[in-house]
Amino acid sequence: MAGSRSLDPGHFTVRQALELEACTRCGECMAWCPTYRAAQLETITPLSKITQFRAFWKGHSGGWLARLFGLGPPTEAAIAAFSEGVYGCTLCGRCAAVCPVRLRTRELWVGMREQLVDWEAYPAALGALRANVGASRNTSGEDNAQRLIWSENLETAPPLAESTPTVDTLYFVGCVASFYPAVYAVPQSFCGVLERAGVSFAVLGGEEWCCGFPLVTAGMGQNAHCLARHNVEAVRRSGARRLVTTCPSCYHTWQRTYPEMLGEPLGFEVLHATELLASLLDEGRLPLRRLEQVVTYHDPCDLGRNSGIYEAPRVVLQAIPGLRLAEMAETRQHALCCGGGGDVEMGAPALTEKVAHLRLEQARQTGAALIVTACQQCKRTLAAQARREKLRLRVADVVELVHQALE
Amino acid sequence: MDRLTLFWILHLALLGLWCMEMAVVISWWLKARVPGLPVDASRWRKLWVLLGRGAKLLFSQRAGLFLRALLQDGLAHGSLLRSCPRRWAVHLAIFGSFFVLGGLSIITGLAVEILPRLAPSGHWLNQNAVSQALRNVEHPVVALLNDGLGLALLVGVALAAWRRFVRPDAQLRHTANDGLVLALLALIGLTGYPVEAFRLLAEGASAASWSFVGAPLARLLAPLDADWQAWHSTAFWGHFALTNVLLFYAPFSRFSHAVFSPLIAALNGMETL
Repeated sequence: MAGSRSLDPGHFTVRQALELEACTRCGECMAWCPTYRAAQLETITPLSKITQFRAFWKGHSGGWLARLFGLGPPTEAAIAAFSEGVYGCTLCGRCAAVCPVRLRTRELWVGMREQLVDWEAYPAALGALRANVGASRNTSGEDNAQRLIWSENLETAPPLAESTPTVDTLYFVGCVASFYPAVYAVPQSFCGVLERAGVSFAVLGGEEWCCGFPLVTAGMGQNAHCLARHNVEAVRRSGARRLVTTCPSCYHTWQRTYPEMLGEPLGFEVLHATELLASLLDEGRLPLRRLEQVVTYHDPCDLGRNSGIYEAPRVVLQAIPGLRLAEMAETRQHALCCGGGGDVEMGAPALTEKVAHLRLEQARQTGAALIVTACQQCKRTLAAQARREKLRLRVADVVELVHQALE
Repeated sequence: MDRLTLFWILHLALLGLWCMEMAVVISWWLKARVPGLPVDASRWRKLWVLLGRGAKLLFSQRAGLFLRALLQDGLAHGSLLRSCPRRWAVHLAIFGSFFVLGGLSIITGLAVEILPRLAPSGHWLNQNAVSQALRNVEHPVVALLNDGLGLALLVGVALAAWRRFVRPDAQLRHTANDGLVLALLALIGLTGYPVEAFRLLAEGASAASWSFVGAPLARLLAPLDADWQAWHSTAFWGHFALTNVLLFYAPFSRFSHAVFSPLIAALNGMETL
């Protein structure tokens, strides 16, 4: 760790600073924290992170008064332990959902990560991520011109925005769906559904850059500004009136982060694929055949708790004739994370596997043979764990199921 | 100098010091940024902007939402009640009692010391039933409230200590800080009764049957031959000192949440209403 130990309070708003003080230390969050449940590592708990960071803040600001109460500058060991806890969090936001005093914990964790980046106390994998995105404009480090590799075996390639004169809907595919073969089926299916519904759509291809979500959540948000500016300008140039994503993290970034980061309204509508599908079904533009099966739905954290979309995916699933939805024990705002969020998979893959195992257990208890989700990262994480455990559980995205059910 | 005069001098001086301590602590939090202001804006500017926004909120149509959220989430702790009624009851016993007792002390101070100086004795400010009740330390309601809330506080502290030390919940994390705050709360509650009992003995008061702990304690001690005035004075200053220790320690202990939690719960909660 080579960074200065000085603390930059500018990573937080005054309200967030008071949130650190408002924590009652009741421990309610601990019972719900998925990574703590999986790893039993004390430093991961929301309670521990807040207590430690509050001590850092007071030690930094308090001078002699703080020293009187035993607080001082953070030691390297304290920062290292703190970093392990803060980066061991999937940013699922379940602690915020159960906090009796409604602390917006997820934003606090991101602020803490920003501080840890200042202190150069972050997992090495995140440094590599930043380098990849900086050089290749995507998280995997592939040539960004290969963004449409997932569409190569489609009968009709998705139209490119730059060669389409009038575009109604722009589909922002996202890095995971673009570069990870395990989830190519998601954008492939979504394009099929859009074509069938007669939606005028296009994709950005190589002009699509990483939305910046992994950098923002890593605490490296300052590196995401240029990505935001580029992407927004690309969509504006296309003339699309709405942007749709199949990735909840991209959706969250477009919907919440970009307007705040750029300090201006985007000028077009942002939808998640499930919202668009629900609307197309409502308009009768997607005739569906029967699919006799029992499925369970996994709420992606960035779609549900962090963006407030719980109904749209359920409306879509319930519109498929013959399909029966069996809910898991923990669902909606209390849904357990898949373990794949918060960049945890990059720094601590074993932790991701443990959390995914817990979620798969909940899915198994429903008796469903298929877990449906609305997130490529959740699909990757849960499917990989199911394979590791040799479970007879398949994982699919909502759009795949709709594509399958199209008459 | 009589005891009450000395009390007021010390009390006001300590309150002034405490306000300074709070100002220092708040200045730490004001190092954070305020949305809409440059990152390097001065802390004074941030404070004024925040106070302005607060005032604007209170005089806007959203004031109702804020007050509703303050009541539901900040003071009644609806979510805690839903998740664990037992913990909610303990919390209410401690904080509810502490703050009602604190509030009672403040308005008693107003009724006894401030209002008679502001208005003639015949003015309604001094003649209304509440002011008269508060000036009369023998008043049944005042005696009942003081003893009842003190007892609720002690029961709450005892249950919290049981949950923390005897049969701790898995989710609780204990620090010495927590034990100190509980001990201070217990001592403040416990020393309140001897103060009342010694006062009854020193003043020979007889109309304090509503003081259902203080009066029996006084009757128990009555056969002893002691200088009750001196004992009352000692107990009074001890009680006063303990309250001030807690007050000064609060910003450095978990007790600070008592102020900030309702505020944050209301601010964050109003956006979900």
